[in-house]
Amino acid sequence: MVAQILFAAFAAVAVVSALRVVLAKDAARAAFALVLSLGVLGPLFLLLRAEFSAVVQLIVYVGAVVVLFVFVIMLTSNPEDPQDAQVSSSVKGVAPAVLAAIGLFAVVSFAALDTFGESQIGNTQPGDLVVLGRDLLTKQLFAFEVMSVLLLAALIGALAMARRN
Amino acid sequence: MFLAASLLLGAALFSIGCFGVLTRRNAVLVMMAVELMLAGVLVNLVAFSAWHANTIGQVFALFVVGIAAAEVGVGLAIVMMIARERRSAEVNRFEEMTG
Amino acid sequence: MISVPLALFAPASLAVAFLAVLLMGKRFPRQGTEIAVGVSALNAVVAGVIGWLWLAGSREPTAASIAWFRIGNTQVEAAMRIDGFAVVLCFLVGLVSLAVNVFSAAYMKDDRRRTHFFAFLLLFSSAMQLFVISDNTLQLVFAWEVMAICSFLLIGHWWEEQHNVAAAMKAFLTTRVSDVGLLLGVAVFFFAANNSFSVQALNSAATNGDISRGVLVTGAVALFIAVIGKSAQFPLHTWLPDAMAGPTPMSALIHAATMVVAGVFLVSRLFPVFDAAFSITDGNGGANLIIVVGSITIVIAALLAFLQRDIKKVLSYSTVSQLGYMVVALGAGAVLAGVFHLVIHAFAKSALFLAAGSISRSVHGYDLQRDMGGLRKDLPYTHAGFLLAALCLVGVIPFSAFWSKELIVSEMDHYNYGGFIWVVVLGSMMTATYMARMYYLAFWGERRGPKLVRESPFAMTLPTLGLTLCAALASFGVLVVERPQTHGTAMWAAVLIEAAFPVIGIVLAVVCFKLGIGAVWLARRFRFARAAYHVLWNRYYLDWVYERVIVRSVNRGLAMIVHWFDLRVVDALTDKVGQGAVKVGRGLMKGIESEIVDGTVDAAGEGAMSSGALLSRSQSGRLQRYMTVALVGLVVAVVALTWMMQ
Repeated sequence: MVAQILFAAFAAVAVVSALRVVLAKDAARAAFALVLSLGVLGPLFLLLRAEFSAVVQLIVYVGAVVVLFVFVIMLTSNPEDPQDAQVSSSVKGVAPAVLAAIGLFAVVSFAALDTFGESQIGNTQPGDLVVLGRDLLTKQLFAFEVMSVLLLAALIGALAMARRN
Repeated sequence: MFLAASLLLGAALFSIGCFGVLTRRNAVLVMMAVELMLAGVLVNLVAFSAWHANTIGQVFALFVVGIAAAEVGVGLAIVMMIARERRSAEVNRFEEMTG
Repeated sequence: MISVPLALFAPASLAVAFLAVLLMGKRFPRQGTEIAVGVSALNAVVAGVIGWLWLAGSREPTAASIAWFRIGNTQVEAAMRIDGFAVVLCFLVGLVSLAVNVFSAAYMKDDRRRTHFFAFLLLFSSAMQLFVISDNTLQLVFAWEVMAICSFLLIGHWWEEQHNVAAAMKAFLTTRVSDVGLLLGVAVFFFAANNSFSVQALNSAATNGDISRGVLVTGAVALFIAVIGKSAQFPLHTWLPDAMAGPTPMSALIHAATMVVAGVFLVSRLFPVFDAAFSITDGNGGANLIIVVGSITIVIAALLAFLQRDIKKVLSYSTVSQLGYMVVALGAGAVLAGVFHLVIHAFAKSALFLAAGSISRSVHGYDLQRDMGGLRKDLPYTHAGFLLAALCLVGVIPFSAFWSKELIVSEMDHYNYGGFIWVVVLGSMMTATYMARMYYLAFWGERRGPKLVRESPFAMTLPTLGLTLCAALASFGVLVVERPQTHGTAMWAAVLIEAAFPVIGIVLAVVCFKLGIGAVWLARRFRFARAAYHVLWNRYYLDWVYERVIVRSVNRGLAMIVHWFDLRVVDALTDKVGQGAVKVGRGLMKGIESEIVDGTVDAAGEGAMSSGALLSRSQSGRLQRYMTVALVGLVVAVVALTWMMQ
């Protein structure tokens, strides 16, 4: 009972914040809304007994990615043109996107409810970290290594691009 | 019950993220919307992982996070370079692909 | 029974030699003469072997045929029939051909085109040998035509001089006119003989009365027209004297011995047909087309032979006359006798031609009165050959032609052609006379030509003498030929008359010469003679008729009419059509091309441009716009799909 209320609360916060992210007139406000939105997902994962994911979410996503965003906003914001954070002004420009988004949501939720409406979560125990670690380093080793290489490439790439000459 | 709700949440986050990608005029904000979309995907993955009661979903989620991080790093670097060239990060200014 | 491959070897060897000489002859030191002489010797030997096998063997005809081609339901077969006639003629052709080739090796030694000469001689002999062994009318036609071409090519051998070309054309065209008859006859008889080209089938159909009267007579007349042309009968004989424009050895082969007898041979091969059509052997002995034409020919040609100054022309008219003999024999049912006479004439006449060629080479001319005279001491071998051949041909007892003419006469009597016998007898008297005249003018009297005359080389005299010998020996053929039964006393009377008339003729000639009576003398004294002289001199005005009347009228009249038609009708029509086409084209151009077609094209272009302009606005370059559209599309697609799957 408590879990359900908590879940609903977290979900609501996430959605509202997400809306703020896409609708805020201010880049900074949008960034902080993103923090909130992504941040509240962490406890939500805990409710789903995915402890590892919750922690990863908080550390990596909120702690690094969004921070990066804040930095970039700081560096690229242009005092002469405060309008450039805005959504496009005319209704005509927005309408198709709105419709598309709503349509997409409708389709996906309909599909989800149709298929999994009656299902129950089977996870009643805390997730086994040992198993996860073992999986990572045995069964999913290849993907793990590739990921490492990817991160390295991204790092080098970003460095190369950001250099001043 | 949780599963359905989680899936709905994931769908909602994803759709909102789509809307943001299609509408925002600042490149950085577009990228933030992309992050939202990825968050929706994460929710889905974790929910299914819980439903199946195995860890595969979480592993996948880990990888998604990693990729997201890499993507953000490189993407923002690009955006910064472009903004430096053109003195603006406005998306609508980049119309070189016009037909 | 003669084996088929052996018989085929004869014409085949000559045909191969023809090709060899034509293609490779020039490379040889003697320009192909070696091949020609060699192969014709081989051919003569083979023909001789065939002849010996025939005489020593069962004398049963060999008939062989193979499938040739098929038209609809009709199977046409290539057929051969080797019987007595074929064997004899094959041998004749082989031997005369050999003699002529050897003679030509010397005679044509310095000629500019001797390779071609030998090539066509070989081709010709090949065709003639094929002709005599064929049992299929199509093959006969084929060989006939090949011989006509060779004749044309050889007569016009020295085509640099226009009159040689004209003579060749005249020969070719005259025989061509008669060839219409050949083709018509072959076609008619194909259908008459139940769609068969086989000579055997045709002969048996005619004998059994399977062919209706009208068809039979039409076909027979058509074929005989071809014979008239090819064997130089009246009125299509005019080409033969003019054919003397070609080299003499060629005349010896073609116009004495072989090609001209093709017509005679055709009649003998298809004799049952002619017999049925003209009722030759029915014993009533009435005039029929064949015997009448032959008789006329004998007489008119002999008359013309008196007037000639050129030795070759005398011989050519003599040939025409002798061919008349053969035709008369056939028209009287004396087939075997006619062929017998053919053989004798062939040997004798070709010997005479070769001798004439030999003389002309020695005295450098052909004119009897201007170039010759008193040659008997200087040209001993040629003289001997000429004299003997002439005697063989004239038929003084016991020389060859006596036996053949006697045989002809007795068969004519057997079939009751009594009246025509007088023509034959008269003809033999005239033959004797003009032959004697020719002989005397050439070899006796005072030398009118060059003073210094040398005998011809061995290569030329040997063939001449050889052929003469054959002519003389051929008289022994009378022993081989079957004789009909005749009345006892009448036969001896006939023999006496036969023997007498040639002698009378010779005596007449000698007397005339001694007395100096000649055509000119007669013409001065008797108006009739003068008129006759003029008629003869102009060769009965036949050539005049042919050229001025027929050819000119066609040229002027028919050609002009056709020309008018062509100009006023055909050309006018074409012009109108052309103008109409231009007008239509212009109209089309304006109406359709400019307005419709161009309009459509322009509209299409405009449409493309404007739609392009319209659509290019969607390519704003804005990514978000693109993505929106994509997403909308995706959503719509998914909805539609799910809806459809419900």
